[in-house]
This record gives sequence, C-alpha cells and structure tokens, in this order.
Amino acid sequence: MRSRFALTGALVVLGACGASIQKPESLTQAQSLYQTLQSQGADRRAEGDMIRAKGAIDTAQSAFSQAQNQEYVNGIAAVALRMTQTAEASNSRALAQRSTDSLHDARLAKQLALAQAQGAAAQARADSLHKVAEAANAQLGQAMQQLQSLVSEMTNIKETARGLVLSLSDILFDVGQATIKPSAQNNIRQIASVLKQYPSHHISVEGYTDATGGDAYNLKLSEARAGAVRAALVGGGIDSTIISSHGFGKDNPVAANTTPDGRAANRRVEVIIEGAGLKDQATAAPAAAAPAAAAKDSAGKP
Amino acid sequence: MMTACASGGGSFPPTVGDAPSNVTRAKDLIAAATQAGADSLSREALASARAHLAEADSLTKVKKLDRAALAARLAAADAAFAQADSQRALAERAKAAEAARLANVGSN
Repeated sequence: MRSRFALTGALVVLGACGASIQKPESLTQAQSLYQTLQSQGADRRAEGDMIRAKGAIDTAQSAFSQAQNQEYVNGIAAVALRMTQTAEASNSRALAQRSTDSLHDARLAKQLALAQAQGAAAQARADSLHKVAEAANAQLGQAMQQLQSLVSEMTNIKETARGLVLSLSDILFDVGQATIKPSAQNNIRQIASVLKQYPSHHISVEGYTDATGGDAYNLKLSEARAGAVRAALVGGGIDSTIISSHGFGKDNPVAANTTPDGRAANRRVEVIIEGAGLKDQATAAPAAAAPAAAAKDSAGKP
Repeated sequence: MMTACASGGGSFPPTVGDAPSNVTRAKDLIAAATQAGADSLSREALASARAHLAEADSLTKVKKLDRAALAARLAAADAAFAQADSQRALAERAKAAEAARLANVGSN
C-alpha cells in the first residue's frame, strides 16, 4: 500500500507538469483496480463502495476528458483511487467474513462428528459391558439353578445376612458317625463344583446336632461332621484357604428338639457362602463378603 | 502533491463541493475510522486523512476555498479507506482465529 501511494504521487506530479492536461496515473490505477474487483464479483460483496468508486472514477474521467484544471483532475483522481481502494478493502473484508463463517461451520461439524464418534464409542463400550454382565448373570443363574437342583434332596437353601446358607440334612451321615456316606460323596463333590463359581467368597462349614446326648459329645460330633464336609469340598476342588469348619453342638436349633422331625432338622451341616445372594450375585457378593465376615468375627457365631 | 503543479490554473468546477461541508464530513469519517481502530490497524491512511484535513483547514483560513474543498474530499476518502481497511484487518484476524480453533478441535 505504501509503495502504491508513493508511485501515485510521483506520476500525478509528472502528469500535472506536462505541456497539457494529462491523465493522472491514479485515475488509470483506479480504473484498473475497479475492473479487477468487478471481475472478482466485488459488485455483490461491496455493492455500495463499488457504486461510489465508479461514480468517483467517472467524475475524474469526465474532468480529465473536459481538460479541466489539472490540479483539480489530479485531486479528484486521487479521491477516485482511494474510493476504489476502499471498495477493495470492503470486498476483502466480506471474503474474510465468508471464510470465517465457513471455518466456523466446519468447526461445528467437526465437533459434532467428534461428539458423535465419542458417543458411539461409549455406547459400544456400554453395550459390550452389558453383554458381559448379562453373560455373568446367566452363568451365575445357571450355577444357582444347578446348585439348587443338586442339593434339593438333602438340603435347603436360604439367603441370610451372612450370605447363602446351604443346610445339609443328617442323611449324609450314619447315626453317631462323622464319615460321609459313600452314597452322598458324589453329591458333595458336585456341590463343590458349583461352589467354585464363588472363588472370591469365604465358605464356612458349620456342624450342629440335636439335643440328645451329652454336650461334649455333641460338640465333638458336630466338629467332626463339619470337618468331614470341609474335607470333601476341598477334595472336590475348593481352595482350602477360603473354607473353614466349626462345630456348635446342639446350639442354634432350627426346630424343637421335642419331636423326631424337629431333632432331624437340627442335625445338620450348614455350608455358608459368605456375602453371596440368590440375586445379583455378580455384583453384590464381593462387596458383601467383607461385612459378613466381620459380622461373624464380632458375634462369635451365627 | 496537489499544489506542486497547477498548470491548469483557474478555479475548480462546482463538483468539488463546499469546503465547510466537506470538512465536516471528513471530520466525521476520521472519527469513525478512529473508532474502528485505524490508529493501529490503518495508521498510514489515517495519518494521510489528518494531514489532508489540516491542509483543508489551512486553505480555508487563507480563503482558498476550492482547494480547501478538494483537500477535505481527499481527507474524507482517506478516512473512509482507513475505516474499511481496519475492518478488513479485524475480519482477517477473526478468520485466522477461527482457523486456529478449527485446527484445535479434537486435540485437547
């Protein structure tokens, strides 16, 4: 811009100092610039400035054609050039604004696409996790069903604050004995295979007797029966570090000891999967295991 | 420049306009250009406008009203250009900033 001003000034002076009225270089520059702008479509983007530039150029050209005062022609031609340059600046501004709008639109589109891609990825991850959870639940449900089926003849299952309690009836043992009947060994091992589904849960085996007989005898017998069941479960593949056994004799009866049926119900071995539940085993069990174990420690026994 | 060589002689045609009104218009346009940031964005053009306005004031004082009117028209043209040039510069800056924002999408 600076060099154009300098050139314009020099040529105007030369023209003005010639023998006759000479066309100012600034007028020639204005006309050339105007045509360039017109070819670029500036008429649409800077309509007002282009109209004013054209008017100024026409005025200057007319003054030159009529051989009016050279000083006036030079000045009015300089005005025409400035006005054409103003149109050029307005045209450039409009082009820049249009580019800015396009860039803005492109940015929004890019941000939208990015957000959509992130959303799709998150959805895919959620779907994947959902499938994993569904599969885990199905597996545990199947295990539970299998467990219930296996022990239905000799046990009952209940959900307590400590976890799942499998109560094994006294048909496992002969009267006064702590050796599991051969006919029951296979079922114990099958129960063990199901308990493997709960590797993160502590398993407590607890023996009980009815109220007949001496306390010391009953305590010793209940401990021996619980230990036998624990050993059978370990033999069936349960990690020995997560399973313990205790005997409680005639304590904690589940029925009255005054009838044969009540005494039979009290003669039992309970297998407690601590922290496990009939529902939501996959998510609830690990979190519930610790509080259940802590409760047992503080209470001594259930 | 304008007074360097007045080989044509004589007075200017009426199309040159009225000096006082041309001066007023030039002052308004200079104020508008200044408001648009021309002091920093189009310094040379604004300086030229002020110089032509000062020349118009001087010519008015010595009663050379035709030349004062022409100088004021040059001042007005310079000021209008300074304003448009400043607006163009601002638009270019906005474009560059938007391009940078576009380039940064997804890089944070």
